[in-house]
Amino acid sequence: MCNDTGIQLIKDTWQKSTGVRMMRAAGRPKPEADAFNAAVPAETPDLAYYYDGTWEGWLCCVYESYTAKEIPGMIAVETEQGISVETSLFYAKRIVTRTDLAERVRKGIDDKIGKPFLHILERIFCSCISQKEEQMLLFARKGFRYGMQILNLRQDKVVNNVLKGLRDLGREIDKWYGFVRFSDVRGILVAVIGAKNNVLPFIASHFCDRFHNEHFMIYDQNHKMALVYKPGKCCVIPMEDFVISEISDEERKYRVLWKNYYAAIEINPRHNEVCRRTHMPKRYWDFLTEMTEQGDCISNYKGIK
Amino acid sequence: MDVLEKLKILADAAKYDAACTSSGLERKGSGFAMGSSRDFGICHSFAGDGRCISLLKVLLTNCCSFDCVYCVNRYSNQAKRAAFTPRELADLTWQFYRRNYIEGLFLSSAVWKSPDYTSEQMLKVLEILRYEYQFGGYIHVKVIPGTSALLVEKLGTLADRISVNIELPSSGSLEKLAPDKSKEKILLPMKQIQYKIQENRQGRGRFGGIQPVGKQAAKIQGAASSGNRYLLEDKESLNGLRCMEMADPYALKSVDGGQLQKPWKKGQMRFAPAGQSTQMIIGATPENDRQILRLTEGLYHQYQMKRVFYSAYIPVVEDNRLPSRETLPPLWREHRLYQADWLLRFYGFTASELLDEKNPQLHPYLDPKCHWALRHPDVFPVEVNRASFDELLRVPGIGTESAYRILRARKLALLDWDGLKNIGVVLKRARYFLLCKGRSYPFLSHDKNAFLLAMMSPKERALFARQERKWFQPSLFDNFSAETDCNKEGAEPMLTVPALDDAQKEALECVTIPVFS
Ligand code: SF4
Repeated sequence: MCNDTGIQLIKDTWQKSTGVRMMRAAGRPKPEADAFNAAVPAETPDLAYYYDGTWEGWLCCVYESYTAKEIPGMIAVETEQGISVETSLFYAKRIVTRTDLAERVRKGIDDKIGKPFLHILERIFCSCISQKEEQMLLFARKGFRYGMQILNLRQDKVVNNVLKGLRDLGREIDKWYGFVRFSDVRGILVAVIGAKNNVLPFIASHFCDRFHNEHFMIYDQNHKMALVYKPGKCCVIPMEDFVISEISDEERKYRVLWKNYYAAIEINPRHNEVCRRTHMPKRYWDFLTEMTEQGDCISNYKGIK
Repeated sequence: MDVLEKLKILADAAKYDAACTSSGLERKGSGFAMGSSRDFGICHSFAGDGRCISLLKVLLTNCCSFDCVYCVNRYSNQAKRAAFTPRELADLTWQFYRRNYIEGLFLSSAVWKSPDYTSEQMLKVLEILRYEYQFGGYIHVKVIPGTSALLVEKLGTLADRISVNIELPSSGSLEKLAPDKSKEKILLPMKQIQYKIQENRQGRGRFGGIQPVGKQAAKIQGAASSGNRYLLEDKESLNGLRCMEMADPYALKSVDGGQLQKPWKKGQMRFAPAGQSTQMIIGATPENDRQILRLTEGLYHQYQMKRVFYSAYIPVVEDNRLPSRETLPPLWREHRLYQADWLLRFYGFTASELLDEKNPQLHPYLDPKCHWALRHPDVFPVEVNRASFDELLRVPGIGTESAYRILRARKLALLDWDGLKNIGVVLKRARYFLLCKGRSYPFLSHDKNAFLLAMMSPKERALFARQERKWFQPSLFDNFSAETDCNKEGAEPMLTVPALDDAQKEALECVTIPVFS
């Protein structure tokens, strides 16, 4: 039932891109699966880029990679807390984030490859594929060389990897559409989630549309970010910590009702744990009212009118 | 009785209903106080039986004045009864929705006093939600056979999907098991709904009043009268529609006559924008799969259903007109029927192609497409680089996604077996039916055991190993073996159980690992 938005995106991209491709493909080499590796400059595996972890920062890495004609073996995030991964074996290069360069690269991708490609990169940037930055860089380089048709070349490892990441992200977004559980705290809806990919920017529009008259907040405890909304205004902000402390009687009442509904709707002779786990993996359970006890289980139920 | 108690009873009574989807309708939330609808459908949770929980699925009441034999709520059954007041249910929906527990409401009911009385209560719930609360979430409402046309129309205007259960696959069974319902009472609202939806789509007046004229009328007439013997004659249904025309369609007053507080904006009012669906019980009556599929096809073509749902009969009551209480619910059959249903809807198959008089039942161990392919060796093998989209879709193991990928990939370069694998086409089954650049799959094993193993999913294999094996008559595979020039003497004993243990499976998989030059 759930449509995979990632795949959908690619499909759309394909449809939109065909026209573009026709015009641009003329000057570009036709990709053959094996011609790929020869197409990029030799990697410099002992080189590492440090950047600040922002989207603009990554765009500057792309810029650097092109101007210096090199492909770093690693791109690491450097913040005040230190460097994200162990890089002592590498010869490091700090990439300074400059908005003008970032804008230039962004525009370059938009013009030379196409907007859908840019969107894909933006999405991938929020995903959790391993060695995200390096993979993205390789992917972008291929994009510059071959244009939009690169998306059809699943034969290629990098492309396949990126598209897979995109699909995973799409799937997780779909899951969180359903699995966010709000609690009413003095009229404000609050929810805590723990996402693998950074899904908040993508689920924002859905929730802002659906609950456009409410005040709400969704806190992602893995990324330490929160989506905060009040009518007409929505933003994603960093937030160190958050727990739902107080639960009113009213709130407890609906939790109990929901748990009981959940229990009642199962057809017991058809219990199927495997099926439930595949659709609703255990890592989501902590955030689902019906799957946690949290002291308001059915036995604690009192005084519901 | 408090809300919790009611919720327990009424959710429990509604749980056998199979239809719980919220897909097929995209609507922005901006016109409403709260709520939107997404066309891909959102699952909010999964119950212990693995089914998606998307809507708050409850009965308004389980007090019933009908006596359908297969149902727990029938009046002759001893059961705890409860009823929501419309306000309680509307509040519950609203609060659940606010906490993102659900996607909307699925409202069904037993027949309380009379079909019309119950429908008025249901309408009341919808009115509170839609008019008073300005609720924009998804609402699916189930129409009770025998409800008057005006009420059906009002319900349909407020709901997103509306459905009438066809209950059982033939009118004979219906008479036997559900004496208060009749084919006519079920099909009349169905026709009315289809008709309203069509009218709506064509923008002929938002809620009706307009009689079908000229071509449109002829089309409906033609569609309804051609063919399917299970379905209602068209004349009757049109009569029903005419009485409905009499009512003033703009009289959108609430049931107790008061003026509505905030009527919807006109543009929001569409008749059941997510279409109509229906459901039937499988396994309580003797109809075979062929009859069921033909009925399904008829419902899709002539009533333009969005979905037909099947629900495996779970024996809840003892009665000599029903299978005994010990019978297991025919889950596999239900699964197969859904597969076949899928083929009807998305793969361009027809019911008569899938099953004919010689094969009136779906195969228990092979999925319907596989079974079809084995009976049509003349169609295969298919050349990957030349086959049309439709031809590719008919290859077992290739779904729409794979077919798309093939089409895309072969624009750039001819596909060979290696390429086919790289683009993510699963070849376990498909390799037996495909050619790549004129070549068949390298080192393809034509051993019958290996072949059968490839055709079955692990679950089917387990099922197969458990049950008797007499179903596999050699003749079934004769066509195919003859074509592959192998195992011509189909008389040798078929699959042996040990062939299914893990070690052998692995061994078989090794045999078919492709070696590329
Ligand atoms: S009408 Fe029949 S199927 Fe419906 S609740 Fe009553 S007894 Fe059950």
